[in-house]
Amino acid sequence: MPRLGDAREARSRLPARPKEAPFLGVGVGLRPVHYGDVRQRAAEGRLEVDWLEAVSENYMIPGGRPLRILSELREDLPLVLHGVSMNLGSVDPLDGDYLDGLAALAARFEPAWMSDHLCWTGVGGNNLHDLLPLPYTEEAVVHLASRIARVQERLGRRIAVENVSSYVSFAASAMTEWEFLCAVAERADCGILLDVNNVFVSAHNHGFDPETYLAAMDPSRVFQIHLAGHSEDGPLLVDTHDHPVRDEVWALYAGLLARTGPVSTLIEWDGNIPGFDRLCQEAARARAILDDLPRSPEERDERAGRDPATPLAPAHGA
Amino acid sequence: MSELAETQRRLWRLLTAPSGVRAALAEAGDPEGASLDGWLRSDAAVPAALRLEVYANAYFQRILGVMAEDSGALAAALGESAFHDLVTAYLCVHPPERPSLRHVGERLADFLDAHPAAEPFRQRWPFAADLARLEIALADAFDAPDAEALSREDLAALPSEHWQDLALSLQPAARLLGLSGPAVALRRRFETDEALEPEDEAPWRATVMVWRQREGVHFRELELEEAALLEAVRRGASFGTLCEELATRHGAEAVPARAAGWLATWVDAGLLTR
Repeated sequence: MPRLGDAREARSRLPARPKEAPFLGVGVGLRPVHYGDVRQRAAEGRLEVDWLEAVSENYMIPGGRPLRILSELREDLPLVLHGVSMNLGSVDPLDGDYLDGLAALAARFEPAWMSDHLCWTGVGGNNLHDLLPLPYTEEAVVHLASRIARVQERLGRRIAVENVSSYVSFAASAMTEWEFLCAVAERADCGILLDVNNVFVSAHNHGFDPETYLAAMDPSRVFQIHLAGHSEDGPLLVDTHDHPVRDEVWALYAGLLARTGPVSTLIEWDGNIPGFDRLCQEAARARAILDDLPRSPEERDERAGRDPATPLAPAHGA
Repeated sequence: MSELAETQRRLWRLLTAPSGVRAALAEAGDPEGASLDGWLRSDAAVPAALRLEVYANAYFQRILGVMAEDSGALAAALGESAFHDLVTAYLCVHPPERPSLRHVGERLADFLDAHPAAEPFRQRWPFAADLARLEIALADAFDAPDAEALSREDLAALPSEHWQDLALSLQPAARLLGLSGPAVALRRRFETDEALEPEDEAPWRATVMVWRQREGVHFRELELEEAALLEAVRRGASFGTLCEELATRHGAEAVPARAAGWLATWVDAGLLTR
């Protein structure tokens, strides 16, 4: 006879996706070079992707073609706004004008959610326009969590923060990157935009196991997944978004989804950008993996050969 | 200063050093990067300085790429090496401050005009500041505020007694610029894929109108009369005031035809707003 406790346990294994992050399917990052193709395909009903992600800063402008095209596409498609300059980890004050601009953009385009990065991009009033690494310390956790909470308050919505690729790490770090990400998300009560390529790149550059990282993610916090390609620079991998997604990253993605269930997935391509067709091929590969997921926790357990009464791995493993 | 603040300021200094991370360390008497030990994790295969170079190179290359695209004719006229040096000098004086890379070169014309560090560029390419100014105006026009254009139908519907006081206004994207003629010619040749050698003839000045029509950004040189009239419009002159200006230039009998001609030109270009 099943005990009451078992039933509760089974329910808790279902992905408790926050209502801010519905499952959108597979999307691509909207880039100006594809405007014409995307509009034509959307008009002909053959877009082959479910949603779009736009870089917020590219649309925080007074007027012109980019805003008109985004408005047009938004009529037919869900949209996520993804920022690169919130500068969450900086010791500089949060930029109130920037947040006002972002809030206005959100009011106009009603994105499914908004995201930025778990990093800093500038200090002393300067912007390096790069996603710079943080030491994984208690000081940084407290700093980030408080700033994310203020941003969420200002925007009136929960945001998702993305793990970045990194090339240096700090001797002062007192925890792993995944412990840091989970701690910040938990304390700020925000979502996570999990970039599987960034996990792979950083794992290579710093010598950790990417599967350990992914296994530590709380599925209920993962709003979205990013997939992209990277390149090699001597002994380092660099997050250049100028190649197809590597097979190893696809394997990590499939493994992650097997644990989390379906998560909105986005293909990014920013350098040597190919035709939109090629992005659709990458999106189709993600969709095939999503479509192959078990439809229920029972089917998942059955496929894994797992006894349904056995709890899954804890959400915040180290 | 908190540890986090110190970390960020130290990284900022290293990553933005104009000659690169390893050269900056060498200049500080630390060619081996020993000062990084105990701060950054390192290993024999990939020393910390090499890891920092990934960020430093990305910082410069990203901005160089954006500025080369936004200032296409200037980059082509100076050539790869000189434009690289110009961006290096510019970034030392004006590191990016705004959230979007779109604005990273917004002070390039002023820098080329007046900053001592730009003197070698001014000497060799006297048109450079004006070419930068024109290309900044073109970029600004691209995403300037939208406005509904005044149409021929709007004018046809205007009662005759209202013409005298008709207030004319330029679209928000419009800019009137006084520029060096060679700079204007270079940009024109850049857009039409012609050779970019500057002209040898004596420098000349041109008044240029930059505007946006049907989402395309355009520029053209103005004759003196049109430049004067559009400058008056920019300052808020009514149609009646423009007619008075034309009467002074050509006599009262020439006014209706000339005024109608200019107005039609501007309306057809979408230059005026409702």
